[in-house]
Amino acid sequence: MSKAQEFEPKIVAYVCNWCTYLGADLAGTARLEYPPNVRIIRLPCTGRIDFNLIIKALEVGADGVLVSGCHPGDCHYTAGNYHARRRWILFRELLDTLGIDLRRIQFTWISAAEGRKWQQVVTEFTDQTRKLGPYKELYATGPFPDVPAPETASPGVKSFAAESELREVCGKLLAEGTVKVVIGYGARGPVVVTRAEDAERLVWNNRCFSNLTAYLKRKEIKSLGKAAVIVKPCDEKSLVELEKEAQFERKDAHVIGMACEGVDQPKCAHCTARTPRFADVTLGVEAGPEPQTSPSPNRFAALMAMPPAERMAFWTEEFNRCVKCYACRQVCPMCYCERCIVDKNRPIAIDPAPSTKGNFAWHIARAFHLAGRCVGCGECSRACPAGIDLALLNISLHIAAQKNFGYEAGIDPKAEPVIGSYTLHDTEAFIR
Amino acid sequence: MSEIISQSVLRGLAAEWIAGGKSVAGPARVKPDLVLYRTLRSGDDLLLEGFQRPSNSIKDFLFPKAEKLYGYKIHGNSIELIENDSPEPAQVIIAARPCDAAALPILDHVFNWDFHDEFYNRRRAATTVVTLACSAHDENCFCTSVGLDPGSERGSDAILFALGSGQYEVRCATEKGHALFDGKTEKSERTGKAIAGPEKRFDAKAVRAFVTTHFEDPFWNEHALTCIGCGTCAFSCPACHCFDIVDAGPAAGNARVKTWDSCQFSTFTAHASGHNPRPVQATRQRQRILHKFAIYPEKFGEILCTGCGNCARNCPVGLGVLSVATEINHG
Amino acid sequence: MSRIGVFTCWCGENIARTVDVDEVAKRVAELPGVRCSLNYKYMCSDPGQAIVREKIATEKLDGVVVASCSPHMHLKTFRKAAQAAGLNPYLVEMANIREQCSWVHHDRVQATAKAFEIIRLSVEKARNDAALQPIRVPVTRRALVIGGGVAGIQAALDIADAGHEVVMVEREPSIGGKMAGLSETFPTLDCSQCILTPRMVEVGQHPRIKLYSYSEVEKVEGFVGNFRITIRQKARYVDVSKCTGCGECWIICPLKRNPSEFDYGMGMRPAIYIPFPQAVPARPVIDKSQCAKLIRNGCGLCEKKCKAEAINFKDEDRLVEEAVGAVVVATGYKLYSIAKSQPKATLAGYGEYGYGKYKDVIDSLQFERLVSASGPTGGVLKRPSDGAIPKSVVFISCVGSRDNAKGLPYCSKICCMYTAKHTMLYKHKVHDGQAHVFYMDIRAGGKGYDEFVRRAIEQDGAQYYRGRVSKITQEGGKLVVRGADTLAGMPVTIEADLVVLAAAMRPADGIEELAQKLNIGCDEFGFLLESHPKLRPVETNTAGIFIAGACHSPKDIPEAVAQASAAASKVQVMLAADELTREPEIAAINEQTCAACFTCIRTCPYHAIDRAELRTPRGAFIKNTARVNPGLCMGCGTCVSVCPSKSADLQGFTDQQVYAMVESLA
Repeated sequence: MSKAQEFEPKIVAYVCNWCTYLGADLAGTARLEYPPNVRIIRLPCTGRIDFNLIIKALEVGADGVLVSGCHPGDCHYTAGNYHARRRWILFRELLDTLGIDLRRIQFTWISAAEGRKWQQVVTEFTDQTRKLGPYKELYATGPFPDVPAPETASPGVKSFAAESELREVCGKLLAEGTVKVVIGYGARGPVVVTRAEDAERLVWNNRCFSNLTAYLKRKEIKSLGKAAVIVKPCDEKSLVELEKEAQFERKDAHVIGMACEGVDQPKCAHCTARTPRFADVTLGVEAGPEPQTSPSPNRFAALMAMPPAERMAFWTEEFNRCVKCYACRQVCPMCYCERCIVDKNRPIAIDPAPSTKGNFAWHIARAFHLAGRCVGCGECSRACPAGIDLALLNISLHIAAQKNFGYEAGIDPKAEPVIGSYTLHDTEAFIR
Repeated sequence: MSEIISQSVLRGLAAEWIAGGKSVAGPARVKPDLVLYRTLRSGDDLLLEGFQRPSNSIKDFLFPKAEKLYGYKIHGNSIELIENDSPEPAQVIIAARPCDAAALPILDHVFNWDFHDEFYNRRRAATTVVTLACSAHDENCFCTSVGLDPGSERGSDAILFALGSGQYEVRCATEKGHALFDGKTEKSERTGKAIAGPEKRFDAKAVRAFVTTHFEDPFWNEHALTCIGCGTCAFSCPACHCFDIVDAGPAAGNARVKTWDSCQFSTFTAHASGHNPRPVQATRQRQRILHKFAIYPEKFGEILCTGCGNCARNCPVGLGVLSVATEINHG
Repeated sequence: MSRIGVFTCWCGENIARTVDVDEVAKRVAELPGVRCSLNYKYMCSDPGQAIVREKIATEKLDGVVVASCSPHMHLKTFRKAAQAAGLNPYLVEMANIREQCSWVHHDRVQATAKAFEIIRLSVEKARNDAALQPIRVPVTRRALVIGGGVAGIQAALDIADAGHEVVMVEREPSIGGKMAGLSETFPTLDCSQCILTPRMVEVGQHPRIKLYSYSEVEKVEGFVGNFRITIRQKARYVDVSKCTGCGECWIICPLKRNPSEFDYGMGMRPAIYIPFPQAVPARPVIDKSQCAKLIRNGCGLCEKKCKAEAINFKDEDRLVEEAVGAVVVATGYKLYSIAKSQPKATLAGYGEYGYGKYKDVIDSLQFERLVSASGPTGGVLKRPSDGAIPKSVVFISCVGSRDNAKGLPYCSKICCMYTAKHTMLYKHKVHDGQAHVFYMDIRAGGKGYDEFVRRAIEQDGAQYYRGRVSKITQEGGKLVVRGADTLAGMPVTIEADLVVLAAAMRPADGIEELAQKLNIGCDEFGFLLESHPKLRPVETNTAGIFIAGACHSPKDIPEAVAQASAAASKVQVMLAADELTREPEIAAINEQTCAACFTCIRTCPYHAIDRAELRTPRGAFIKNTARVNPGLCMGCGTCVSVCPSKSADLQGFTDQQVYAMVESLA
């Protein structure tokens, strides 16, 4: 192949204004030559470099993305790079789970004095990307091994003992006016009960899937007056996070916790939260199958055992079925934005059409916005009419938050949320 | 005298069509608990029994979830439009449910009313629908309540009736149907029959009467309290046809794209000013029922619902047309 | 469609040598939104700028892209040029085709292609630029100085002398701080009070300084230019406006044996007292924990004696509010507590030195009082236990400093110098005495500092041992100091009459609470954090709040004073006009779509985002929202990245702009 025909990668670089941009300027002043493939987009700070931008760069056909800012301790804005570093730690895990080739994204710190480092990084990254070739694997389908489907075998309706007690308690709460509304489970799904006599409609059985805390954000329900909400111990976790995010105040709701015997969902196999911890009143006795320490089949492990290209093929196949009905978003207790990023049309960060790119961008955004916030209720997977196991993405970030920051959403009301905080010791082994 | 065909011949035919360059779509198992209509890679992909009905509908193949209307290129200060007029390949939809096929005449009205939608019609002309009459119904089925039944031939070019032991009676209703099956079937004395339909669950006329007279009624509010406002019902509905037009920028290939939209989305009627004439879920639920049982029937004389029950089957919170209609009907 | 003008610069040969500027200008002219595209030898020259100005007018440009050098070089130049031609300066962008193209590539074809793409990026940005107006923040032209030590005094006088009002808050009954209690100062050995007290008097008498002594900052509200400070004036039981400072009260007070705070317990004071004779204000306070009248309604002699009727036993704490535009924090330091019991679990104390157990083991500030002419012994060095003149004194440096095991990892910086000073002062007072010093290293960087230490050793005969002391015991009226001389490689035992411990410097008590009130940061030791260690050493991350002196890190007097003047000059810049003008490239929040999760508030390094409520014009509550304070935002954009609904955006680097740029690379 002649030199003229050799593949030349397209590289997009997001750099901060004060260190790396000046470092690149210094490389110029010192006449340090490097390959011309990189296109620099100058932003004030790495703190401003949103993960969506990295995805957008890949969407426009970048074969490599370079992200660079000030060394720790040097940030012009004192902490922007620390916040960025923390997000990247998590974001890389998500990308890896999706099968995106992490060699295509280079994070680096380059100071204003490091013209030579800029030269080296750009040269080596360009060479490496050239060797990798065009990023054809991105969004590509192909063969991949089966990922075990989550077990959702439901042996029919099995009522739990606490059902009658629940009806009694809720009837009383409504009759005495302690609450105006009870958000609970009915025969077909969630019900909102406002009259004491209707408490008979409430059920408590192995089909009580929904995480009802999602309803607390609804204006129509809020307008009815103080609500009692029925929570399983796993659902209760979302209240912890919602409270941290100023979306919920304990005084606004009466929390009825149900000691749980399992609702035949995949999450139940390895559930350790069997008794509510914060509820105003707890009903029932802890029972049900012993939690398994190693849930089988471990679908996340099976996914991660594939090579990245196969994971990508898997997700492309999955996301191609997505119709953008947004059931995953609507059913999620932690998705409460009044205007979702995907509905923002200026600029269009995420293609609103259910295209391959648009679906990838949407599910990446959804999952990453839940980083360190998802409490693992699994409603997204259950709600998806296309059978996409979206919870796998959340599991990836859940593990990452736990591994890197010892944070588990919904456990400690006092623990500082993962996004929006940082420590000086966050890992940066992946940053050049 | 009837025409019959065996499963293996049917699969062989499907494989033939695929080999002949046709696009063939039909039920296929995607996951252990998920059956979808999808483009078949081989005759073996075709799933003919052991499930109630696919979670999606055959509208996916005539009115796809995203369709490029035209592309554009910007030169200096002028814009060049690039028409999307590539011919559609011939396609066969096989083993569609009667409640899917019956939705096609409904869609035909909409896409040929004040505007002739060339994209839909191009696909429609190139499509042959082979229906498989139902051999079971479940608690979500209500075709009989909207004037259809498990053996309804409406919208089908041909219809298959299971005879047991892997045999089907083929009844061709149109030229297209004959073109597919003539010479491929065997003569037989056996004739198929669809199962009896589900018991009639509600009176559609009563529902229509209610929705046209109870625009402002607490019923809507009460009924919509648990609706989460996703688009699952509309997107899995064979007859729902609302769409949006979005501009996909350079990253998505510079195109104007028609995409599905749902009246259950809060953004569906949001005005640029910020005003939203359907401000709460109750008004959106009402719209859905009103449109299906009153507005569309007024305009086109039939109900915008085939009773497939997909809305309820797919609804993450157990709602759907059936529960609303029965509640209206039975108070 | 926009009307962008693109001006490609040759930079002489610098760009034109490797980039085909004609070709670039020709291709750029075809880009969407470009109205005109031309090139010129030197765009930054006067004729070059004239071309830009002319084209803005004749082509009615609504955006300008100058393709030349780095924006760090000439963005301001071209923004000014645009402004002169009537175009909003924030509609100007630069495309860096010199530092990041022509200077780093040799292949003319490649460099030309890249230059075109760089310009296209900037054109996309310019097409989405918005005209921005500088942010104007009204300024209350007064300053608050917290702390009346030498740093606070310096800052207050500098600011007041520049013509601005200053409010000074001092926790103790008198200003003067630690320096007022020092004997002589290194390296000149001039008398500390002789230097300081005139400055204290200046503060007391300055027409533009309002002094709140015996007061503390209770609450801080507002933001740069507009702080509202609530000050707690502690009950003094003496009406300062009536009191003449005659002294009758503290002379008559029968309760005279109370350890003096000012003398660090080396001397005594009455229950009604002024801390030291030169106190400013020279008005007494009553210690309510000691006064017989206040404890059990007895005595009351001072009230009877006071002709001015200034004694008020019914006095209570009072809260007053002051409005200021800027704050200088100069709260100083305290010493590491040497005794074994420690307020902080991480600090272990030095029980083996017997501080608190043996009366003649004292710390360095106590020693200062014992050798001070105004001290409890009148400047005659007598040891605390029996008043004897000590003939052998051991000085131990680094007590608590540079000790990861029991103390603090940092160097307290001034101990080497004052220990040398102490040995000299001692020798000058006790000619036949012997000073011994145990040290780890001698750090004497500073003007005349090393010479000073040499003098202590060579002229005044101080005996220096490089090593640590392991234990001090008392044996027959003598303190037996056991240590090591690591240079000689042998143990040393000295029988001493007095031991002086150079305890580490720590930030003053209550610093963390104060920092919290002010919304500024502390390091792990409680020292206040500067905004940038090199370039913004006296600023904090909260605009309008500055730091000076030992509250920032251990410092000697000249450094504290220099930093105070630096902080004062920053304050003067701020207070120079009725309004602050700030760059408009800051964050803004779409309050309609904000989900009020407040992640941005947690994230913002400048505390520039607040919780707010969106209300109708009639005041009815609509929703909660986050709101950017334009007076504080520095424009980093970190909030934009963490905002899930993208309700936060950054002016000048909006999402719209950045996406347009990236998408132009498709």
